[in-house]
Amino acid sequence: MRAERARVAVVGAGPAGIAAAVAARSCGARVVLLDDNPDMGGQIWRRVQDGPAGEWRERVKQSGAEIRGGVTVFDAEKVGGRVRLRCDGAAGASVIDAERVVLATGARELFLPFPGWTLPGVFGVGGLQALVKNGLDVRGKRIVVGGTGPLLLAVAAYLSDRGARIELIAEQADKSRMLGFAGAMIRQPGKLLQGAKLRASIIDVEYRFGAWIAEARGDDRVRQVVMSDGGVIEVDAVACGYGLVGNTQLAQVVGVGIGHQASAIGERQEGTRHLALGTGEEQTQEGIGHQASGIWGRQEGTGHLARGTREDGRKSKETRSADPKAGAWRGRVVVDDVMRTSVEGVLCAGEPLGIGGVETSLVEGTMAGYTAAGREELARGLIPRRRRERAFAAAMERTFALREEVLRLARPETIVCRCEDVTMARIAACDHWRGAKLLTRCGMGPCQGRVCGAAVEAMMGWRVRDARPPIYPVSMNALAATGGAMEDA
Amino acid sequence: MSTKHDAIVIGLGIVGCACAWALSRRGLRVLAVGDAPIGGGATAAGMGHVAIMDDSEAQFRLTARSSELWMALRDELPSEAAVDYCGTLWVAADEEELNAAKGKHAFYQKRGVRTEVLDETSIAEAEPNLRSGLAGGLRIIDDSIVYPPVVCEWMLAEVVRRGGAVRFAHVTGATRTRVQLDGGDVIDAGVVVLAGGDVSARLCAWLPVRPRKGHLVITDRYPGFCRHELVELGYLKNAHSHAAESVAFNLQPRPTGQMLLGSSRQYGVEHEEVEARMVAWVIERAKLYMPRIGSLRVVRAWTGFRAATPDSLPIIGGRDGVDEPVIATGHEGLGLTTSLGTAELIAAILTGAPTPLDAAAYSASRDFGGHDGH
Ligand SMILES: Cc1cc2nc3c(=O)[nH]c(=O)nc-3n(C[C@H](O)[C@H](O)[C@H](O)COP(=O)(O)OP(=O)(O)OC[C@H]3O[C@@H](n4cnc5c(N)ncnc54)[C@H](O)[C@@H]3O)c2cc1C
Ligand SMILES: Cc1cc2nc3c(=O)[nH]c(=O)nc-3n(C[C@H](O)[C@H](O)[C@H](O)COP(=O)(O)OP(=O)(O)OC[C@H]3O[C@@H](n4cnc5c(N)ncnc54)[C@H](O)[C@@H]3O)c2cc1C
Repeated sequence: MRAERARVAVVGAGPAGIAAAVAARSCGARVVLLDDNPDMGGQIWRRVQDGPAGEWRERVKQSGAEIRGGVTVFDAEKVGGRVRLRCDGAAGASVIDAERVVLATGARELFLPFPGWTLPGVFGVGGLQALVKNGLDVRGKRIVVGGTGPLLLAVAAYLSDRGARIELIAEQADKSRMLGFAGAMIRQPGKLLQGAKLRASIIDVEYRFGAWIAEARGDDRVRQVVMSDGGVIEVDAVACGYGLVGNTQLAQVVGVGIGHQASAIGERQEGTRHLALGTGEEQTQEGIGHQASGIWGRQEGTGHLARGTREDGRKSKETRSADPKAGAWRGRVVVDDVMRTSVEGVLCAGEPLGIGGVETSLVEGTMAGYTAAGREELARGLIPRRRRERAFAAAMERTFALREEVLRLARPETIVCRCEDVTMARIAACDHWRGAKLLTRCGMGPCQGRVCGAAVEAMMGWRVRDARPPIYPVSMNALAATGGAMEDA
Repeated sequence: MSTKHDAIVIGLGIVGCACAWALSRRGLRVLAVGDAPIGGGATAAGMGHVAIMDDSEAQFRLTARSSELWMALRDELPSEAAVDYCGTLWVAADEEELNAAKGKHAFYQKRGVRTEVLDETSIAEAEPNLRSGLAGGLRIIDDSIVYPPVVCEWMLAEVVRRGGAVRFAHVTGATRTRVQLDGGDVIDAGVVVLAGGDVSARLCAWLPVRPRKGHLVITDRYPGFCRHELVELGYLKNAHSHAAESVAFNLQPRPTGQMLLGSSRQYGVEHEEVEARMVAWVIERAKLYMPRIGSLRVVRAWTGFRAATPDSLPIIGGRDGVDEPVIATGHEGLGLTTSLGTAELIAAILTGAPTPLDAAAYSASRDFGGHDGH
């Protein structure tokens, strides 16, 4: 097994991680950049060579950062003043003890279960895009794209460029909200341009607001969708996406404070790996969240009601966020204004801080890279830019906040947890995530609740915050090799 | 109608649930109170192996009686309880351990427990993924596995059907007939039973019970990788040594096809974090018996706390003349198994219902050998 030390390790080679590696290298620090995908670029730039993707790729290659693809980081722990990353991959298990770690782990799609969503031919928007990038032929295929957010447009445009027939784009947000969003875009001309370009390429497609896919029907595969107004559309495939959720699992296991405010720019949190797992810490987080008034003056009501707390501080994270629609259910890593988390030596950038998109990831990645390399003052210079990006992201989140109806699409018999075949009825009979896990095995399968956990968090308003190492399935051999080694390193 | 409860049971783990259920089956109106989800605590963390054990006569009687009670319940439990009579296979690495297995066989035979000694060839046939060259083993035919949280829920549903209730609250103080809840509520009852697991001493300071942490890992689905609950015969020596840390090989085939691997034992660790070092140790131990297990993919790891006593026997019953709850805790690594025997004994003590068990062996007033439990 490979065991090494590093000055700066960056987890995730999407825009945020690439920018972090470039910035840290520019200050002379030795940098290792890790990603579980063989190709760098993250969700948006993977397999894209031209434009900013190509430029940044070139920049990071030139920077002298050591780039390692196909490496999954399944655990992070503070050991003796350093941060130990435990990794597995094609090249075998490895351990990296880093002085500073930048978590740039990105986001995943949110799937909200609806009747028929498990039929073959129903995809996540990003998932379908990835399949097409990898060669899936969609020429002439009739596709309905539904859900929420700008990704719908981006993916519809992409699919239509590849020859698909987009029957409809169904955006659950109301038009009135979208008008407000357009206002925000005018203050961000670059973004408006991007949006306009996207619209142009799919000009013939109906973009319907306040509409959503209520049901998918079919036999061995999806044949029809039923829309929220009762209309039925014949389809060959469905692309559905209700936005993104940040990947905070690695942050959770290293003990980083997670908050719920839309403004992820909070105060520095003190906390250890252990504390952060207990109830006390969560309450602290809430407290701070309420005090630190959002930079943009917006505070979402969280009003968490602690359940099942124990005096000894061990155990239960059974908490409930009062208003699932408000978006406050999305847990976000809390950082200070130069990207430091509550755990010494651990920084974070990009989507785990709240969904922000590629520009936000680039700015935050650069800031994290500077701070990690000990050049905090350079990071400070970017604070205004970050603030602008985050303001835009917050406007976007308000615009595309999930409506009550899309959180109630699952019927009692609809499967929510695909790994363990758990239905909505069984989950609804429980009163918190831990109870649901124990009694129904929901979230206990190989995906470890990555899919159903986020859906349940949104639908039920439960707090799902129970990542434990290994955060990804990993061989016994890799656990044995990385767990025992370097104990005194 | 009086709102007074006949009994209050503190703790919604398997022991508390079983006691509440047994008492309500005998006609008592029971209030079950706990500060964690139903079946949470050690119960959620445990392996769910129902095993007849022979460390001492008292342990044998309690586990064997409990095993009978589990058997009797078999058809009543919901399918989600995932009962499976896979049997236990004690693995003997060498001749010395095989002799120990033969000794156990004789012990069990005399007491009517169905067991079978396996030699080198037959153990290899029974479990092809064990390494070759093992001396043999002992099969306990009627041992089984169960998924405890679902059993807890089923029991409490019956308690409620019989006029009882469940309340989620932390208990801050308790006497023989009264509990005080966090927030100030005081509730009276005919009798209070404390089944608070490893933290029971918070309500009854003298209890010589301390937490003993364990680690488990579970794999993706590999149906048929092993067929019995496998336990190394060094287990007894290991588990019962009071060393600060130990591990023993213990592998369970879940009905889902997943492999559940245990386990470690640690004193003096109070946090519930998964420790990479302990997980590595558990896996290295398993690889000594099943080298091929190394390539299986682990999907989750977790920990739990057993309630350990100085003599490795649970504490069941009340102390005369002391105004404290009746105790039902200290089941260490066997509380899932012995919950049903414990509940029967508690019901016998409180209602005079019959039981073949002898209360004296588990009495709260017994001599704990001068051990300081704290
Ligand atoms: C499916 C999907 C499709 C998207 N498509 C678009 C699009 O078309 N247009 C658009 O503008 N935005 C898109 N986005 C939004 C996108 O997330 C952001 O625009 C941008 O990519 C964010 O950059 P990032 O660096 O913060 O995260 P990401 O780009 O998500 O990069 C994170 C990287 O970290 C890796 N990683 C995570 N955890 C680990 C770990 N434990 N070990 C090793 N590696 C790890 C991931 O595999 C990934 O490569 C998409 C998002 C998703 C989820
Ligand atoms: C790793 C591991 C593997 C195991 N494997 C097996 C096995 O294969 N077979 C077997 O038979 N046994 C096994 N066990 C042991 C078994 O799990 C336990 O003995 C059993 O679950 C104990 O149940 P309990 O109800 O006494 O305690 P718990 O399940 O811990 O429940 C006690 C409950 O009381 C609550 N409580 C405590 N104090 C208060 C208070 N003041 N107010 C309100 N509530 C309170 C707690 O929150 C807790 O939920 C294993 C244990 C571990 C840790």
